[in-house]
Amino acid sequence: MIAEHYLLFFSIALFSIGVYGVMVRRNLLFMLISIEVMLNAIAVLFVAGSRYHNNSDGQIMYLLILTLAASEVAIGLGLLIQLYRRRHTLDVDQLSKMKG
Amino acid sequence: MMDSAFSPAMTQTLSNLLLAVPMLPLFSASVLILAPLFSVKLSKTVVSVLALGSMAAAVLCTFILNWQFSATGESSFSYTYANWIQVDTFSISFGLYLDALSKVMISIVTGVGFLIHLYSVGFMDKDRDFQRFFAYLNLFVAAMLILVLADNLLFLFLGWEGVGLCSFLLIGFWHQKTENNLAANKAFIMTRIGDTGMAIGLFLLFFQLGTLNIQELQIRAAQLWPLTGSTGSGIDMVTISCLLLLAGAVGKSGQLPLQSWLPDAMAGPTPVSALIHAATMVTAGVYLIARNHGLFELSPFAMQSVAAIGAVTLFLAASAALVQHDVKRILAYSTVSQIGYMFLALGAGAWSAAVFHLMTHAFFKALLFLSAGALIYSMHHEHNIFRMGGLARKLPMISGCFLIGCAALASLPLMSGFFSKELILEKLLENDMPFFWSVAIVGAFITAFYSFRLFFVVFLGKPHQEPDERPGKIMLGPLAVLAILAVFGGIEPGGLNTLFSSESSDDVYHPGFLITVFTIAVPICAVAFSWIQFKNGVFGRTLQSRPLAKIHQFLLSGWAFDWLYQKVFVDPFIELTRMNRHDLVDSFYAGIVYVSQKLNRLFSWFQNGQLRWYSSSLVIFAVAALGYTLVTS
Repeated sequence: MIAEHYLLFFSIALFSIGVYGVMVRRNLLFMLISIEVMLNAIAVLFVAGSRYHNNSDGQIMYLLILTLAASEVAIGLGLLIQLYRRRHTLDVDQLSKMKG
Repeated sequence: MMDSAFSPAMTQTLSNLLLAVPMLPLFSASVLILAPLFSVKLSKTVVSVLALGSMAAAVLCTFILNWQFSATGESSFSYTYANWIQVDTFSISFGLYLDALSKVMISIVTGVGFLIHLYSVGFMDKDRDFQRFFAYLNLFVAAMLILVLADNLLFLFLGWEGVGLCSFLLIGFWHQKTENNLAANKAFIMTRIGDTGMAIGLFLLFFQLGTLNIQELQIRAAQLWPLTGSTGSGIDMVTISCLLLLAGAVGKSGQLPLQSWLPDAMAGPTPVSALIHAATMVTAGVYLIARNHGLFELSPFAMQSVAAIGAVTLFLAASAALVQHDVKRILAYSTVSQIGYMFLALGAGAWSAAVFHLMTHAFFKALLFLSAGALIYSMHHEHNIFRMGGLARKLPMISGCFLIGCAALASLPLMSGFFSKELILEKLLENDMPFFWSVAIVGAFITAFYSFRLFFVVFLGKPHQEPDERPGKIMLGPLAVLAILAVFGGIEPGGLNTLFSSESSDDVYHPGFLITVFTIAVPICAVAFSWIQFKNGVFGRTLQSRPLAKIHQFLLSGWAFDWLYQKVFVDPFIELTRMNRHDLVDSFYAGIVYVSQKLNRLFSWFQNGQLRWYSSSLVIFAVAALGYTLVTS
């Protein structure tokens, strides 16, 4: 059995890696992956919480997040492909047309 | 106020005739103004027939009116045609009022007006804006008739403003030249200053007396403010009202301190100068005061102010006329000076003498202006009298008219101007005003001197320029009629003495024999003196000594009033506007603009389009907020 706080640390680490990825990565594809990482970090946290409280709600929540992540990836990748076709780049620093 | 002394049939006739007098020119003016709007082309013949016909009909109506009215033997007739404004007790009607004073005025306005219209047909024959000219001229006559016939002060004020508007339009008639427009603006603005005073006077009178009907006003004023007779300089309500009315009169009649517009108003066509700036419009101020004589009699101080303004103006303008070299400016200054005489007479309480002088002045000044117009027409638009000379042989008709006009202006014996000016001088002595009398005598001397200076320089002496055009019969006809009027017009119109009942007409004052001889001799001496000076070649000589040249310059500019007003009013105002170029009030709104622009700059700096920047700031704020809650909780 793994102790709860390890799970907590794992989740935080995973989330931080995701945040770090979103912040520093320039490629839009990697930013999308980083967001997935963050989502999974949250999912792990839910499952850990579910076990800690002996309550299955967290695991049900995980299923919802999984669905959400799947649809999000589908839409995100779709947009990504369209973007790449039109602009021939995925560098977010160059995709800065919508500034104030 | 309906007079029951008239039978219904008579009332009907009189009211219709009375209405026709101002309506005929107004009708013609509106046709002439409206026709171009509906792109209806009227030929010159149609325009002149319409303009002249309406004036002739108005003259005819005036004539019949005079005849019918005097047949009734009543002193006044008034008729209300319609209601204009009705608010609670405040009621203003379109009512006309006829008595001896307005009878004289409408006779002058329609009679002299008709002659000037007739003359203008010849004078303006070659002008492109023939129709516009007659539209304005007719409108002017209509406004002036409303002014003199109105039975309440507000209706009178409508005519008053209409006259001012037409004056503006006609002075700037040749609007292609900038200086004409400036002269028109000057006339409009300067008279406006007086009109503002007059409007305030009307408000005050209504506030105090609750009516604006002129006749009721006199009666109620006499009840409310009985003449105490003791203090001559007390500033009470009646004095203030009178002074405010006087301000309007001063502006319109070109008296001190608003006189400087009148000489500049000569920029308009000459018939306009004759009609507006000599015969009719400028006398509106005299009419206003004579009309409200009941009010003015209650305030000795206001009467003295009227007399003082008249005396100063008559002297000032006469001295300025001495040195002018533009024929129209000489006549303009003489107009100012002659109206000064009328004001002097009004201030002395010699109402009928003032109106009498107004009438004779209208005749001879219209004659002078029209002959000056014919002169200028013949001399190829030459205004400078020193470039004319020796024209008596070449233009005998015009020189004859000029001689008659100058003689009447100089009040040589048996001319019309003689009788009226003598009457004013006599009344001044009768009312024990020796100082004003001496000013008037000095003024009479100067007047005779400069009018014959004008005549001698233009018509005698060495010829400088040949007349190249002869004025037609249509211009000479009115001149002949006016010349006859200027000679024989010295018959005091009847009924005035009874109208101004306060005048002591029973015990006729007889000045001493010596004084009579003296007053007759003064103009004759002036003419003789003028002849001697002319023979010696004084006129037109360039002055050698510097002080004299300075004085000459001072008089030429009409006592430098333009310079004074420029320094006192115009320059400080321009300085003020220059200081306030970045509008003080606007700076508040400019501040709002500035702040929102700065905020916009700040916020759009955040929106830089960098996705990583957004996400980073999101993270930083989330962490900061989380950290804050953790620390504080």
